[in-house]
Amino acid sequence: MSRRRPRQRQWYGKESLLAYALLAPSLVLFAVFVYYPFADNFRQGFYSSNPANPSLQTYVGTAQWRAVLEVDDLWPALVRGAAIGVVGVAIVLLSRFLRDRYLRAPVPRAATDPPARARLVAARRLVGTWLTFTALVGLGLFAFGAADARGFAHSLRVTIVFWLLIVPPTIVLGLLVAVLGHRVMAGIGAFRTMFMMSLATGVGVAGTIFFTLLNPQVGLLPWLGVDTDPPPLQHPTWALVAVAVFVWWLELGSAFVFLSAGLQNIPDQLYEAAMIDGARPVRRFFRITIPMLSPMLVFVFVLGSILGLVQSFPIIDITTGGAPVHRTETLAWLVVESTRGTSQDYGRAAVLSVALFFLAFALTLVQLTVLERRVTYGEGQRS
Amino acid sequence: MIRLLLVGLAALPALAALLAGVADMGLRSPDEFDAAGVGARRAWWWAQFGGAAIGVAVFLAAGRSPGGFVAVAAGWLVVEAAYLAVARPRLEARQPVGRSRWLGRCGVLTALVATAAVLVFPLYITTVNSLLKGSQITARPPSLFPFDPQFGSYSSAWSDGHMGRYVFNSLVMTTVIVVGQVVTSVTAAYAFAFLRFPFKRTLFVVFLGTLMLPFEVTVVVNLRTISDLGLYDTFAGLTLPFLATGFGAFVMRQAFRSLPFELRDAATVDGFGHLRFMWKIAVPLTRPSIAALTVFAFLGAWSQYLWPFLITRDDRLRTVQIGVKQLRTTQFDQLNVVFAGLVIAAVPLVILLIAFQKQLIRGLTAGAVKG
Repeated sequence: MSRRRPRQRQWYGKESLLAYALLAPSLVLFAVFVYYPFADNFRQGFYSSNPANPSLQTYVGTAQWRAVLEVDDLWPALVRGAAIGVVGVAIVLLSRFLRDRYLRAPVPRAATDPPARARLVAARRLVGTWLTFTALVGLGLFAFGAADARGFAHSLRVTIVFWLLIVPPTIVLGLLVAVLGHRVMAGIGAFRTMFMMSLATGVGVAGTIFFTLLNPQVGLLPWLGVDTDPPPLQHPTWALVAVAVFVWWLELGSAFVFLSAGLQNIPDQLYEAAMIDGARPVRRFFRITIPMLSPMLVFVFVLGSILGLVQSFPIIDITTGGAPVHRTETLAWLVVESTRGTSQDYGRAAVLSVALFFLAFALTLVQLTVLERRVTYGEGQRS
Repeated sequence: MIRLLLVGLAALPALAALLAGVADMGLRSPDEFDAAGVGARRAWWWAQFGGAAIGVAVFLAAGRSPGGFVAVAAGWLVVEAAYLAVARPRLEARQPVGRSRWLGRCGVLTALVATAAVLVFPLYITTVNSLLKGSQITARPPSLFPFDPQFGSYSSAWSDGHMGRYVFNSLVMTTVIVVGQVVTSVTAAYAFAFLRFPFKRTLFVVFLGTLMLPFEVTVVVNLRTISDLGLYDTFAGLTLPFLATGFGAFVMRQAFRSLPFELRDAATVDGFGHLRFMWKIAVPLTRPSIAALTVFAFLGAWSQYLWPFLITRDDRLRTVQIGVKQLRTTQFDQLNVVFAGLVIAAVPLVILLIAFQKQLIRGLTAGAVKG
């Protein structure tokens, strides 16, 4: 990467013409339907539009940004969130200090027994991960707590909670099912097809199935003893959880497909070598499967995150429609909602779209920097 | 209730015996059955299908009642038990499998069956409900098997619920989008992989940049653009924004670059122009990648929700995913029709998935997402 070829601005005659002709259809479509709308969102943010007549627009400057993004409410909440984050990090640091002080000492003696030491390291890692995760959950839950019950800040909070509810279980369940389905056996193909069946339904069909099955008259939940009043999808507390459980099922299909492909890419020799060295299945799983699978795990994480943070509109619309008392209004839902019906407001929609873009952009940055560093690609290389 | 209990009591041992038998048989090669002598090989077939056949015969003779279900389970139980008692010791004496391996395989099979049951249950119960009478759906205890299937719900979902039209619309929309995406991806990827032209790097960044802009971010302005072009509520408006993808171009470029470069030189010597080389050599050689791209484009287009939801108001243009939501509101007094509509909407992709299950995973393993 460091040695760049000199840029070529040379004209290759007919070859270049052919290239531009081949690229033209895609470029025109990208210009009209991807880059122009992206740029226009920023322009529209400064103009308020008249719901009755969208072509009638007035320049309002940054007032619309401030109003829609609830800047005045958001600042105190952000400060609170940051404080919680600091406390979380402090807890991590303190626990590390205490561990070094009181737990480090026995480690060297235990180190003569490699498996014991490995267990200790694994336990430490587990605790660290768990603490970080709780800190994240805390941030997500409380950062925007006191903001208005309807609007940008509230939807951001719902979005983050929704994301936390769907992504970790999807990855864990997908991994379990992929490992279960990864074996040579007569009839395994039938099981694999059943595991990826949710891929075949699509969000509209799957959402309607769950909507109907969670209906107290049709569904089996009351009969099985799970009888909430009001029913789950109208329950202020459980609505988002019910939607998340539906997404676990919906996303398991694609998570299974990608993780299975990843498992098939792991060379068998690694396992054979580990078995000769006497590594037991659990150790093989954590020392070979997980590291070798990490590119796919990151990919599934990003896929689920995009779904949870950016593409949640269909899921919400088909199951709850933002109800009960705005408890399931995610940011993506809010964007689409502001283009419809009586509340049609293109200025507001544009500002919210920009916010949505930054959510997606943050995800791309996370993908490129934080996660990919710890990922193993190919033959044991770290990149 | 007693009946239900009876079915459960008969089903559990039958299931356990079935699992134990299948686990044992799965651990042995067919040759061992032959080597073990008379009857053993035949026992395999009896255990697998004989029990089911006897049971189904009794079940049909008993007038398709729940009681007949007990007969199916009992038939299976008897035959599997016979296999385990008679054939297994003989095979074990010739070539021991070992108790722990056998139990391990039993555990794996149990886990597989349980997982599959949980994951398929929503689709299974939908299919069952579509075949029940309206009043049976809400009855408790629930019917988990359609003993008296009613196929009328399918015809009313197809015609009264307009599912036929929705499926047709979805098929046409999906076909247009898939063909468009594959053509634009292949041509653009070819230019990036084989041709020399100014601003190549810049244009590739433009392509990759589209991956960072999800459709939800641009949807509001796109809605206005399509309206301004006069394409609101038309078929063109439904498909136009999705005819090109950066993802497809990226995947195909990787596939083209994996071809040996000498191929292009040899083709040039033989007098092939670029277009002919692309069509006759590059495209056929990258068929696995194109197949994977097609399946993913199909899945994506078929399950599209947001754009059809916003761009179509007319029922004539409605696609399946939106249509089932419509069905839910128009036919709510006839639940079996709603469920039949859901089955109709799911069937095309289920067929696609069963047919391409292996290719889907293979296409990914072939290097599409390899770092």
